[in-house]
Amino acid sequence: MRVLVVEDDTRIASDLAAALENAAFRVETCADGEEAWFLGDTEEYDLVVLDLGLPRLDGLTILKRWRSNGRDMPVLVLTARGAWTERVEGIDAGADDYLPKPFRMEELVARARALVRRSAGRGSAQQEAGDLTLDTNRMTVTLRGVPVSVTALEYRLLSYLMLHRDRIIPPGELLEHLYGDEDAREANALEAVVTRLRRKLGSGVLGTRRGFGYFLEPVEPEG
Amino acid sequence: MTSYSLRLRLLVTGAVSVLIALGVAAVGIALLFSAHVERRALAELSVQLDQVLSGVERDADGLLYLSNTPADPRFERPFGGLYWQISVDGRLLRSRSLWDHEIPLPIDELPDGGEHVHTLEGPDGQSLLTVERSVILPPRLGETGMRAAVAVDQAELQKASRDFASDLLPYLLILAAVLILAMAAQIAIGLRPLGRVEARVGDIRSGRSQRLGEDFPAEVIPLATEVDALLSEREEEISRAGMRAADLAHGFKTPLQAMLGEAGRLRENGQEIHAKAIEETVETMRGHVDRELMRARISLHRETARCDVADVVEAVLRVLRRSVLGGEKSWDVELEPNLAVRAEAADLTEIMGAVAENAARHAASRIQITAREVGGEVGIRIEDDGPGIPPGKLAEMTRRGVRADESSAGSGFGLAIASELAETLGGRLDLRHGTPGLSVRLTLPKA
Repeated sequence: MRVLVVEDDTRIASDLAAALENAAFRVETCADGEEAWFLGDTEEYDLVVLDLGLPRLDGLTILKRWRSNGRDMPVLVLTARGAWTERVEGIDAGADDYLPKPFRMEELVARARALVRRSAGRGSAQQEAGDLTLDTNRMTVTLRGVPVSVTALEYRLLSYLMLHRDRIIPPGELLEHLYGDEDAREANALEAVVTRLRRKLGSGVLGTRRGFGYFLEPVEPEG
Repeated sequence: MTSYSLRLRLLVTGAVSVLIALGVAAVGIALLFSAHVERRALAELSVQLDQVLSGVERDADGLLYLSNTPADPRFERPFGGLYWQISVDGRLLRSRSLWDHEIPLPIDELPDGGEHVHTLEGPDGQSLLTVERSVILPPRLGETGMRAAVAVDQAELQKASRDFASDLLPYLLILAAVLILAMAAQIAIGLRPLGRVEARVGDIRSGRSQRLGEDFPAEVIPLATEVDALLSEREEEISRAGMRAADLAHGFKTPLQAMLGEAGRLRENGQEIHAKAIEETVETMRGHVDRELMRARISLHRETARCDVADVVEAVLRVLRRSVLGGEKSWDVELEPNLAVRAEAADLTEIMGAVAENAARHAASRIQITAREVGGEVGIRIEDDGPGIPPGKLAEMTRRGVRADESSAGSGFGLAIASELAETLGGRLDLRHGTPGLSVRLTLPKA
């Protein structure tokens, strides 16, 4: 899961990044309004955590510009101004949820996970595909009821495929969401992770379609 | 003097002025009338004197006598009030009315035909207005010098003046009464705009009105304008103070967030006790900051405020249905149409937001919102199907600084602040045990 954290206070930004990374998100941070707008407009994120008070361009304006440009990734708004009229304004501008400061990191992580699930059309924290079950709250994987031990990177890959299990994910998209843009790896690095996972899960779980990408079996019908 | 009423001052000064003016007029008119009476009396005496003089003849013995006495009967009655007297050739001729009295004419020389007016002592203690004339008798009567006088009792003249004054007095009193009444009416009508100013100021105090306005007489407008300018200045000051308080409160939130981050690091290092202490402190500070923010936001014009309940509920639900907390719950909303409360939309949104968010946080699956009008008030009930509040803890929920659920971060002071805000708006927040869950009833004055 690739998350953009837009927060100008460096201490809070690093706390947010640490908490989200612990929850198996791939985090990029940004402290400037103009830059945040550009990133959100051009890159693919599964979630944006957006502080409203930013230098150069305020959060609400960024959000309105993204939405009017057709960018529909889930956006969790953070603000020091907690009035309900401001929340209404934020939601009307296109925010998906609203967290007034100060908040506990557990609350933020819970909301972030729920927003990502919801944007993929999956409400429950327990997600299943065939024999495979992911608990997105506990970050655990079970196969036919038996726990499978996975690394953070492997979990990220599985949960992305799980969220988008109605389609085949191209390797480029998967790489972007696993590693982010800055340190994009070679396609064979991805191949290595897939191979390790296939060893742990056995056949008939992680499918490949040559020239198209990866998917969890069985593929659900579109919609 | 400053503490006496304007009305009393005007009335007293006006009445005193009227009375003084009428008093002066009464004295003046009486004096004029006396002078007039005296002039008339002198003219009459002059005519009587002519008659007396025209009657002087010499009898067969050569003595002068009055052949033809004036007709007025008062000349014939002793001390009758009208007298004549002639001194000639060392003799004294006089009217019968003088009896044995002699008018004591001063010894002075007058030219022929010259006339004097005297006030002299008469018979019976009377004071006489006397006209004296010196004449030289015609050659036929011997060309001797003669002093003749005709006099009238002044008491008669004074009586006429007194009668006139006593006839005049009732009219003057009626005039005074009419003038004072007219003045009272004038004061009442003239001061009426001040009564309107007072009523308008009362409206401003109770919040029904915001400014005095300009629909006053020209003399009151400068006062009204000054008062309005003062009110505007005060409002700006209050609003600036509110903004400063809000900025201060916001300024606290980011450092509080950073402190929570530090608490998280302490926990990672195994210092759970310290982490928890910091988190609790941050929660308490957050409660204070939120409460002060709420107070800073409270509108100045809440008495004239009006907002539509359905609009506010709809806005709050837009937020909660979208959010993670409320998105997966089912919201049943049942509002009477056209409900409006006496509050700014921002204030109602704040209360409804806090209560509905609390319900969403604790509900198992369903939240019900109903609103209806009950006797001049609007009751809005928010019920959830969550675990509810332990028995005996209900009262604590809305008390200052008490958190309902210590384990649930961020939900702490919401209901207590909402309750305080509701009371500021002239309403209240009542908590009851639901079946199951918590039932919150918000009551606000109807707009």
